[in-house]
Amino acid sequence: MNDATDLAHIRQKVLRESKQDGIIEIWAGMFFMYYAVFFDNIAREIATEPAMVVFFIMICSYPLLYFTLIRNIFTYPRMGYVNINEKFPLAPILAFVVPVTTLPAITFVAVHWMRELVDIYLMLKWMSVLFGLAFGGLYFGLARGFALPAYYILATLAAVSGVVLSMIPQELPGVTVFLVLQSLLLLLYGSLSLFRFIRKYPRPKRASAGVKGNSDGR
Amino acid sequence: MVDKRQERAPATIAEIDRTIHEPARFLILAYLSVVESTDFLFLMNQTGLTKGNLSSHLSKLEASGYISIKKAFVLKIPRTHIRLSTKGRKAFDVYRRNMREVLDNLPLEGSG
Repeated sequence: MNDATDLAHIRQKVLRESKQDGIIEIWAGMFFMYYAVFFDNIAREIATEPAMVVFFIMICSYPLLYFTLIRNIFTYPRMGYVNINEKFPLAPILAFVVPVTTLPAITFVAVHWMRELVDIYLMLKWMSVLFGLAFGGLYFGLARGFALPAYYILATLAAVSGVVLSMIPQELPGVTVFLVLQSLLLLLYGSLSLFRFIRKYPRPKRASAGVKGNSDGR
Repeated sequence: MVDKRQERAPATIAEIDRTIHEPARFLILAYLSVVESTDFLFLMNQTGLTKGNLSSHLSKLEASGYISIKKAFVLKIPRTHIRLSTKGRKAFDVYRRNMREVLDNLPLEGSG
């Protein structure tokens, strides 16, 4: 009874349960792998191909597909539907979106128009610190806002790896290695979440789905 | 200014809402109180109640006017939206307040 009366605990549980299909983390992993390739292209002084722009547009539109279609077809029939009216942690999201979108733009401008003035490799090396702090802040904000304990670990790993990679001499730019690490972590976390989700919530059979084929059993 | 709570006598056991007092229905309302809306499947997964049990309790809560149940279609898939009504939210808050007062006023073990 104590557990049931703790409404804050129930809300945290519902927030956590609603975010466990892992699909957004898998998407984020692919998204940051794209960024890693982008920065690697910049470092190798390869012009950004039109295909990269097309891919960027496609990968940015995926969340829309997820929230409008994939969740309704895949997630909700298994887990059930819930509308939480959650408060998105706006500050950490903005603190992440601003550097992650402006830094590639600044890099692009620097490479194409300021090559004589700017040491591109040095810029990319230290960019991992900024990305590390941005990622760390975002993960921390999501961990607190959506009650996702694993994100505290991701926050710590992001901040520490961002700093460490800027100091270790290596062939690839620090930001590229950082983004590859982040994408692999997110792909792993997302895949594990998806696997656990599918095992925990098998798709209900039509016969037991309720009267006249209602997907929610009532 | 006098605190309004001091004007009202503490709640008694007789004032406990028996519709909400049933543990399964209390749990259902607890979940509904923290969400905007949900469906049958989500409630069943979260509360651990069986389909028949949950359906029976939802019917009682709906008959009391504490919840609203509406069927809709999303991408041609039927979905049942369950949400706490205004009356239900108020009744739930009153129930929680009354329970706290009743428990606070229970004599301590070994006294009296």
